[in-house]
Amino acid sequence: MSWRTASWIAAVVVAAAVFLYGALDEGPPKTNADRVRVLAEDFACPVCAGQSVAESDVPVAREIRRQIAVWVDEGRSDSYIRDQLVAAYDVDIDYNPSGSGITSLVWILPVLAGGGIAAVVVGMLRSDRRSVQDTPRPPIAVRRRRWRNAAVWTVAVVVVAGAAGLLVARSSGSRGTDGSITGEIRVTTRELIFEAQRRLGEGDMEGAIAAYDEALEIQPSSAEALTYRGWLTSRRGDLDTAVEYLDDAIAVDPAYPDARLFRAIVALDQGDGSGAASELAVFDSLDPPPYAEELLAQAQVRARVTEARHAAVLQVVDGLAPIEERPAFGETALGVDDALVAAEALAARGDLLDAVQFLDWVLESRPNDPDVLAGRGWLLVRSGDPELLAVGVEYLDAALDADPASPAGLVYRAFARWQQGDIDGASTDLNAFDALQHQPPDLVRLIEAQGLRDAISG
Amino acid sequence: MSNVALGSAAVAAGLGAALMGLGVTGLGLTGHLRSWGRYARQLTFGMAVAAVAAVVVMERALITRDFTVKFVADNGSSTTPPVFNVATLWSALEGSILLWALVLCGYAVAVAVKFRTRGDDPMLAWAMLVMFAVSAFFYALMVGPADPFIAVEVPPGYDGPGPNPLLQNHILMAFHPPILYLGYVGFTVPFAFAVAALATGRLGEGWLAATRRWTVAAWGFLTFGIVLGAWWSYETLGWGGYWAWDPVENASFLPWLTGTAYLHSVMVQERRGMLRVWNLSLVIATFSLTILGTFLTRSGVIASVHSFTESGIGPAILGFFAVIVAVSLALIAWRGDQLRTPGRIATPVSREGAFLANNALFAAFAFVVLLGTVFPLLVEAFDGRTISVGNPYFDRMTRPIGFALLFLMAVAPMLPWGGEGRRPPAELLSRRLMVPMWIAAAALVFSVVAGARGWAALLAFGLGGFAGGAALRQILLAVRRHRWRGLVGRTNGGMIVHLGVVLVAVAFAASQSYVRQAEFDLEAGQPASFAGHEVVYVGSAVVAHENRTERVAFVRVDDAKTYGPAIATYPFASQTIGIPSVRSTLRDDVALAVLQFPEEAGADRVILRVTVQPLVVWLWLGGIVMALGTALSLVPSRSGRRQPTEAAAVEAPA
Amino acid sequence: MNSGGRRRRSLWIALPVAVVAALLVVVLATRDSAFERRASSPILGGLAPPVVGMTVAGETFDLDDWRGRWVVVNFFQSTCVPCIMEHPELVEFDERHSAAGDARIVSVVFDDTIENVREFFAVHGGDWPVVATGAREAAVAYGVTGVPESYLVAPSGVVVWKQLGGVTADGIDDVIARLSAAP
Repeated sequence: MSWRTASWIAAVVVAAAVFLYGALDEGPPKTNADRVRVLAEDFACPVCAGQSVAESDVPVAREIRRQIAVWVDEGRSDSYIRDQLVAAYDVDIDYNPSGSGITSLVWILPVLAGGGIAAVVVGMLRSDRRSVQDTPRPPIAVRRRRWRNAAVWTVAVVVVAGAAGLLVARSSGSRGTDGSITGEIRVTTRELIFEAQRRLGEGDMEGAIAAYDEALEIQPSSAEALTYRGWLTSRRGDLDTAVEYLDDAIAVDPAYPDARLFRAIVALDQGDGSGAASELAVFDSLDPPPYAEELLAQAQVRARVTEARHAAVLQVVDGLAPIEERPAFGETALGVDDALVAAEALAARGDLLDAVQFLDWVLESRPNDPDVLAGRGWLLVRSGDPELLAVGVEYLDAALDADPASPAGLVYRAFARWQQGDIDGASTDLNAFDALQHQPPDLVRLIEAQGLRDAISG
Repeated sequence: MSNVALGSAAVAAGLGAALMGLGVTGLGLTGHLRSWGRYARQLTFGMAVAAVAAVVVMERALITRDFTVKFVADNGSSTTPPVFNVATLWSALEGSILLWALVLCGYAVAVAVKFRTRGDDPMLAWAMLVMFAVSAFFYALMVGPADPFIAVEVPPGYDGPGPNPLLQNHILMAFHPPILYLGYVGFTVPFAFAVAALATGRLGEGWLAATRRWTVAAWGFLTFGIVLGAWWSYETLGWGGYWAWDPVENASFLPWLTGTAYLHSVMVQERRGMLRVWNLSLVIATFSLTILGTFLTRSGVIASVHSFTESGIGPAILGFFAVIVAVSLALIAWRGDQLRTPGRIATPVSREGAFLANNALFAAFAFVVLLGTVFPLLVEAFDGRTISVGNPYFDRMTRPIGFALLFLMAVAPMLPWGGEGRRPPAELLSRRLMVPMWIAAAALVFSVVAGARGWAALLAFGLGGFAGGAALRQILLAVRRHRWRGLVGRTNGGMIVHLGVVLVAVAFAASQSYVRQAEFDLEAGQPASFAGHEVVYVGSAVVAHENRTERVAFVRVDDAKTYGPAIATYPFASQTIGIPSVRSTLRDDVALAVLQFPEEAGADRVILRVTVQPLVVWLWLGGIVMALGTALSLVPSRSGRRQPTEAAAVEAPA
Repeated sequence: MNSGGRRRRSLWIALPVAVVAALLVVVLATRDSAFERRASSPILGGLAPPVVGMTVAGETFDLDDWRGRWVVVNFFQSTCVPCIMEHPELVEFDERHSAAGDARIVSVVFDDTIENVREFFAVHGGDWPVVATGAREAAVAYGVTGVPESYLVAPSGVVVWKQLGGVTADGIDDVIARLSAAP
């Protein structure tokens, strides 16, 4: 083996090995944004002259681009996206001609032409070699044979090239139903999130975190991955980083209950009771799915939020001067909600009298506030003492005089009347409450927790 | 006198000169006029003077904002900046036809002067006849459906809308169309001589030799014009793209493909006397395709960003195309008996075999592009449906052809002409391709280490290294042997062009395969990092220009310079125009485009599209190398006439 | 004889090329201008694509809840001049039918902010649902190409009519009358 042969072998081996490595190695993952760009280039902007959705800046192109991004983030396949766009804008939005029907010719004809050209070139090379011998006119038999040969070859080329063309049309003229040939995304965010959930189920927290990270690489705006990545981070104790993830998730999808729930829990862990309370309020307004409620109950979030809020407000109330020396409620920075929470907190501490006194002080400034009146009444109703109960009902009546549609007034009075044995009155109040446009969730929960409905109907 | 009258007179005079030229050369051919050559020459001067006069009048009208000329009233504006005011000429249909006529007359004069020593050669007479006929057609367009000098009455204080905003926001617009036209129109010369050869029956290599340089020059202009066009769209359209298989881009690419095929196959005819019909067909096809392209883009049958609004010149141009094709085919059929080639190809593994393969590939390439461009029209005609053919089709169908061409580019220059090599071709190849093969391997290793993945891009890089190595080897050998003369002449210049092609191919593959794009919604002061770069939205400002109002977003890239992509509002345009800004380095480009400034009280926000693309600059550098190589190949190597065996001599140093 | 054969051969090559070229020319010569071609919408005659989302007033909206009435689905943008010009016609149409309730309008925001839309309706009047979230899905599902653009959905839930550009109250009523008359 000469050195030249050796050198050739070496060069070819190096090139082939490196090429194969580079061709087969996965490399950094393609992101959803990459796939959106590739897809956008494959669709014509419906109102532009010869520009794709990716190129054009007219509003329609921008909207279609964003909708493609939404579909890609949802993990839709190329063929799904194509079908949606074609259904709305007709086939000429698709820059990829279909591989069936008359349009398949655009795929088949070039292959046929290629075959024909190749056949002509080969034929030229052959006939030129032959033409040396037969310059004189060949006999008829030879010519006939030549014609036959030419015909056979023509048919063969047409058949082979035509079949190849059909294959090209079949493979190129449609988009895969199974995913994303255009984006070369091997796994979707959805698969990665399932993977992470599976690992989490197995208790493999690090594996789950890795899977969420991979999902975020592909789709930085995946609310689900951001939420759970943040949640897992918080379970490892890194609350600040967790907050960043969760806030990102909330920014992406403000209506994602899981993000709100975890954000509330992390806020509690940070000692931020009011932050947790506001997240919890948003969570309640989102009509959360049962598993989220379950999680909420498991973590005793409500109790902890209440506790935290009580603690915070008690600190303020305990800091106030004694009743006689106190300035009027209207002159303090406290709000009615704070006052009600404070009263609840005082009552929960066992200082029922303090709580009542506190609300009386508030009523000096706000004599006709239905919420305060209702809260004042409710303190008495809850005491269980029949005398206090009667006084409590008076306050509740006053609250409902001030605002006949006060939800708290209606619910509390329903309880009070029920305790008094006035089932009809209780159910009237409850029906009035049900007829309200907006039922505060905490009252709804109170009704459920005490089994008021069953008690009345039963 | 008014501009309208002066311009119309100039156009009429030009048409008169062209028709007289037709008559004079016709009389000369039939033997009725002895010294037709002198008259024809003078008439080309007449045509040219008329064209120059018409252009000068139009530019004067544009510069002085003479709105009594309809073209100026429709396309001019008192607020257009001076450079673009001059360029307004080719921003609309009538002016572009005028520019076409000017360039055509320039070529006619050059031909007449260059061949004045040919005396009364009937071949020259036929060629001049064709030149006059084509000129007459374009002048007739300007007298008829594309009259640039129509008088209008405008109210006092009228101001025009100015050219399409997209055509007046980048300096490249001042160069791209004229250079492209120099290319398109330049192919008229070889076409004229091809027809002359068919008409006179002198089908030998004479007409090839006469038009070789003309063809190369036209090809060079066309190449550079296309690259400038791509550059322009990259700089102004703001989505990181430079080639979109738009019908108009295809229309310029088709003659480039057939022209490139011709530049290679012509060498086979010179050497072997073969492929006569083929070469004639390629020249005719190239010219016809420039006309067909003009039809496709100027008649409005195909929608394109480049197309001008509908006009009545469509049928005229289509008719002209039909006449060209019909006449050419009739001539070829008529001369069939003399077109039989005397030569033959001894072995497929030879230079001529490689050129044959090269031509097969270019023909297939042209077919794919032509089919994709007109296919929607065909389907609509036969089936009534409207469909689109775009990116996915062109990418998929042209990619394998591109790979095969790169491979041939490496191998072909190394192959000896059939029967000339002193050693068997396989041994020659293994000797000469050794270095290129190692360069290919090195290119692959480098790419993979640098992070490149995916078979298509890597194949392009490997083949690019292979072809580039081969071209470099030839250039170095030639320079070692002939000093600076090793850089000039057809063979050596051609190798430099090959180098440019390799640069373009590699840059194309890299930028298409590894482009990253994202949209960011940023508040003032907010950074975003993407694909290894960090952009910070600093803030925005409204800048009033004479002809537009811009809202500029100041964006700092990688903590260095601040760039200013903007959204511009032109008073007459129905929608706003984005003005992108690009940070270019030899490694990669960061292109910034403002998509929107969301209206929100109290917040300065921007929706910014960031496109990061590697190696884009090398597309333009490759284009420049190609133009340079073309120019060098026009310089005569060694005392005017090139020795046919020079390449072989370089190959096998004694 | 021999040269005749060659000539015939070149004829054989030239003829098919000529036929193809002639065909191409004929096709090109008979094409309408691309500027005049406008594809009809593929959603006409089919069930109306969903319009589901939150209105700018904060209520949920679902087009299917309005099955049994004629519904004008109007895509608009607060800054587009033709939209401002067509708006009084929509108001007029709404007033004609609000009593009977046989036809209703739903507007869908196209590429705009909720504040702008609220102000638009405050200035120009009109009191019907304006879908804001979910608007992009609806626009892309209907194949909207620009604003204003309106679709008429029959009581059966089928899209029966499309209008690019501004509508008039009389125009819509004419269409409804025509389609109601014909079974």
